[in-house]
Amino acid sequence: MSDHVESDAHAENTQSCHVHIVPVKVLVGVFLALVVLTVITVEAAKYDTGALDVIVSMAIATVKASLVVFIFMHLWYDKPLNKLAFFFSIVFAAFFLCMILLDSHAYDNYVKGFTEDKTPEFLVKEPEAAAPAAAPAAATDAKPAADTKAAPAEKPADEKKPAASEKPETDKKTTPETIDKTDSK
Amino acid sequence: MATVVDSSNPKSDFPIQYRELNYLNCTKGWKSWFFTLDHKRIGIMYLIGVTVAFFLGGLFAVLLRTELLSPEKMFLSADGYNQMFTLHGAIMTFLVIIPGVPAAIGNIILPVMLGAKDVAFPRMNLGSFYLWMAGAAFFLAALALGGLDTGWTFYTPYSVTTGTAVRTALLGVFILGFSSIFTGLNFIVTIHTMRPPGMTWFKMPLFLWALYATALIQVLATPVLGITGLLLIVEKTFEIGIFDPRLGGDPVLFQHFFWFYSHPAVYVMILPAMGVISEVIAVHSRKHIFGYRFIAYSSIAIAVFGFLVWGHHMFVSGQSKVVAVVFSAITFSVSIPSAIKVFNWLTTMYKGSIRFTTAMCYALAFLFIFSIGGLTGLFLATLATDIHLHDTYFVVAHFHYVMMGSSLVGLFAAVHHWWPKMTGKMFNEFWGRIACLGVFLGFNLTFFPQFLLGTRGMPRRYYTYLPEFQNLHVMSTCGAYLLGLSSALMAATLIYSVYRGKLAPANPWGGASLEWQCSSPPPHNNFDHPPLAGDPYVMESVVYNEEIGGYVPVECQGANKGSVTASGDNEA
Amino acid sequence: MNTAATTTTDEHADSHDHEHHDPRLAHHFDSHQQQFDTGKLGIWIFLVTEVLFFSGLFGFYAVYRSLHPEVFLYASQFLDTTLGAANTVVLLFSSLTMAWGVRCAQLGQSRGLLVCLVTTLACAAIFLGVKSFEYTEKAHHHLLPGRAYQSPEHHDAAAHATAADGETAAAAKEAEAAEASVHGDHGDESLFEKTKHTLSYMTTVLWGVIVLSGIAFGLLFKNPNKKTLATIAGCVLVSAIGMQLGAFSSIGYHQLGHAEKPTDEEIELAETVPAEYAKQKEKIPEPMLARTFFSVYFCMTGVHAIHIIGGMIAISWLIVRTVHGAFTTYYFGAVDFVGLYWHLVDLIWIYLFPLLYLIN
Ligand code: HEM
Ligand SMILES: [Cu+2]
Repeated sequence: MSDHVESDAHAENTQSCHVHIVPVKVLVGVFLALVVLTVITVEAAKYDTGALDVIVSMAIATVKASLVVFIFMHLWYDKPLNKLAFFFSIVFAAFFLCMILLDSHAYDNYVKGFTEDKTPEFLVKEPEAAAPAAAPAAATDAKPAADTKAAPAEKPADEKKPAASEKPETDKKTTPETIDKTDSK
Repeated sequence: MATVVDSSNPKSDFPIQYRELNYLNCTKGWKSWFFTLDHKRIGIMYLIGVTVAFFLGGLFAVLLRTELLSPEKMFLSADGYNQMFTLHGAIMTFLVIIPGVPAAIGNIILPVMLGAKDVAFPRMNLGSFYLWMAGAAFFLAALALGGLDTGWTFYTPYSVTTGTAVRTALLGVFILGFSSIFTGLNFIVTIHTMRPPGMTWFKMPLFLWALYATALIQVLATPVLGITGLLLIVEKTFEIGIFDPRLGGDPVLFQHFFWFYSHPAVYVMILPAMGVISEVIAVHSRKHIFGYRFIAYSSIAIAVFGFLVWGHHMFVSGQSKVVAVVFSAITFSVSIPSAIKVFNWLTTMYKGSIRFTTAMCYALAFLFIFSIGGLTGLFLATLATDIHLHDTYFVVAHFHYVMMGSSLVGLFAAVHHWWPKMTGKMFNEFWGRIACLGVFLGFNLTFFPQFLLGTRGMPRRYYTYLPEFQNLHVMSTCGAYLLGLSSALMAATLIYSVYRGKLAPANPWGGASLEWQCSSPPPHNNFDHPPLAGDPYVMESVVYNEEIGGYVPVECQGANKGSVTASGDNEA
Repeated sequence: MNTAATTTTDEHADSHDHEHHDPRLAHHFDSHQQQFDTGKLGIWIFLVTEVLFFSGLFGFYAVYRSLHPEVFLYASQFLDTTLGAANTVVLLFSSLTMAWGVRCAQLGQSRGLLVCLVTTLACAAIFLGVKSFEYTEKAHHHLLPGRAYQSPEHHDAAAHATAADGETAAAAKEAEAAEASVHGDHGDESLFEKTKHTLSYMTTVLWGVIVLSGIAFGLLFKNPNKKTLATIAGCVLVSAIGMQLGAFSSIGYHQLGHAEKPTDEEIELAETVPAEYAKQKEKIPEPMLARTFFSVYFCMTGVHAIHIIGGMIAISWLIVRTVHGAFTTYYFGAVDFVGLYWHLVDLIWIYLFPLLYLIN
């Protein structure tokens, strides 16, 4: 961008502020590009490309986001420090996402098992046949308090309970510890 | 007052030691405090708030320990015990340790150390203090609305099903989070844009490096706590099935969210204390800090690595094995920068002329306690041992060694080190040291037995125990009483000095960083001209002056007939 | 150590006063450039916290989508892509006007700035109007997070049962009772009427707001002493009109979309299940955790909407200051900073749109 207008030509020392000013043409151009990309992403979503779907739509979104960040938000012309700050936020967010994604599949089965054991009535899915039985419970709007009454009996030490009781691999190792604890109660 | 009042002689060679008009009294009335934009006054208000919260949390702790004098029920029911340890933990972490050094001490000292007139965003600074107050109010409201019994960790699914005031407390946490973010944001920007001429990054005092690293963590990690709290509130209200496994939610995901914030948050607690120790040890050993760059870089390294280890709190949660191994390995590596700091502090003291002032005593206590706390962290970071130690008193002892024994002792050191600067008064060194000794002994007596209890299988968060644990529990409780009394003695000594203490000179300990160049207490604007910053650790640049009772720059020693007190300036 | 600087303070006690008579420069800054750079770094770091704040929501989305892709596939069909896309364009346009406004501020064109800011505010309001239509429609179909959710299949079955053999099945009775209790007595209105009816609370209130703020604006407009109040009234007026516009145009769009001679069966379906779903030829079976999608949907768009409202307040504040002529070529930081925030809100929507609406 050769268009480097300094706002404020005449100035006493303190009354000047040098910034980059983006020309109107560029602004409107970016907007039009963004609209075109929106149309493309909507159209692209109509074709079933399987797993590629997410990738394509995220790629387009990222292109759009970069346009906004670099032009509308002036990051392209901004100080390196501000660039760095924004860059780091993305890196940290990405790292966070990767780790929890990586991990969530590992224990998914335990959670599923738990869900199947303890699902409250209102969530139980009602196929036509089961409907009469389950429906009254749903309709009477069972109060959350009702099924939590029993809960306070289990102390917060139960935090890791689902894990401890549903984790086959480490069972052998945790047993002595678990015994220890129940003993000391 | 050994000072001469002669404001008519501007050519004097001594820096002004004392001003009649300083930030504490330049304006009067409660409004001038509650609506102040002065970073020093905001810091003082924080300090008072933190102290009150500390004694409230401490009261809970003493009650908890008293209940544990015997395995039988004494005066707390099981539920009462749960609520009490939860509030103790939540208050101490969110209201005391996290704002302790950065928001209270940092606010007062950081701009002065930078030679700046204020932090970058004074209004936001005041706002963050009021957010802190609001957060504290929510905690008290939670107490009134039936307490809280989830532990400070709010683990799901229990927190979703319990009938206690989880939502109120979470709102409090959310608000406190923003208070912390704004403080951090302010510090980062201040350090970046308001350093005085001559102060390059590597001429910054190490306390500022530590605050900078802390602020990075505050800004990057705390928002995740905010959204976690918000989601948990929504979960509890609408049962949307995010974290509650009954509804298909994922409770381990909550732990990921929580520890993504809370592990870095433990470095929010310890890093500023480490910065304080770097200052205190260098100044009170009268020696240039050893390995300046190593300490500076290790602060940043701790901040960055601190983000990569949160999974070590979840080794037995069902986390995948690969992830657990990765987290364990990175946890080991994060202890390296901590060790680097310890070695550098020790080397700084080597052949220094150490004076056992109260602040230095606290710093030494810090070194001892932090070494134990950090090393026991390594046992916990080892996958196999953690299976045994997780959720036992060993963990409780570990984190008290690092949080109470290190972060809070660091805060105590900071308060004593900068007390003359903040209040303009000297406290009684004798009683200060007695209190320090009491804190040190009481602390170790309280928490060392807990390591033993933990290895023998005493689980945490129980209001009762097997009879054979009683001796150790009684020891621990006695320690807690000693600790409580000593902290009260410390507070008494300091408060007494405000009313009866000697006037402090500008530079009582002989520090070379900028905050010692302005008078004690500083005037409203700190410096009339941005001072020129040199190396903050050249202790030879100041020498002791009998007449003043403090240190003065070498250049003006000898020509000591000028004015050391000014009055009447700075009416704004 | 430089002592001279700190010793001779008396003379200089007031010296900062004559350097800093400029009210636009805070006392602890040396120059406008420093003040601007400081603010800019500050806002960028604030944006960093915003990104991490939303990363929690995106993380939660990513985990559930990867664990239960079928839920997302199933439930996303209930979102109206056209409305989502239209809202995207509206937000993008508001971003354009915001960026343009920043440009005007930098050049000192205060009239241009005012026009840009008001347009941005109006676009934000339109966005909210459309969003409130979408929310209302979801609420109608009980596509709500958590306990409030009711399966659309359930409606479907119930409707057919009622149509086929009266009130035989107990299930149908229960379902109808639930239906009736929620819909009150609008049983025979068309779906669009219903939606409009619920929306009508909002639109009625908005009409009231429009009239009142319009009157206030008209009365205060000429009074030079009441500039601030007049501007605030103007901002409220613009916001209310914008929301009304958004709400009505989405209602209109919806009616349009279904005006082409529906068959009886289609009408029947449209009455009971969301239009998007009714159009589907082969229906995907409803997965067990379909409600989770709506948890995700409402959490993410809800937090985003709160940010929009925050942005609207900030923009109104800018408008007030612009009217007072606060901004100059060397003092326009506030415009720039609010602009950056606004673009970030837009940015998040750029990701939310495909993630929520475009799942195939
Ligand atoms: C220096 C190296 C450190 C290492 C290797 C380390 C390691 C660990 C590990 C592995 C745990 C989990 C134990 C378990 O739950 O089974 C833990 C718990 C904890 N650590 Fe550390 N830590 C270190 C320093 C610190 C510091 C500096 C602080 C705070 C100032 C801290 C505060 C805590 C807290 C509060 C907990 C327990 C949280 C809870 O479950 O309530 N740690 N540490
Ligand atoms: Cu940790």
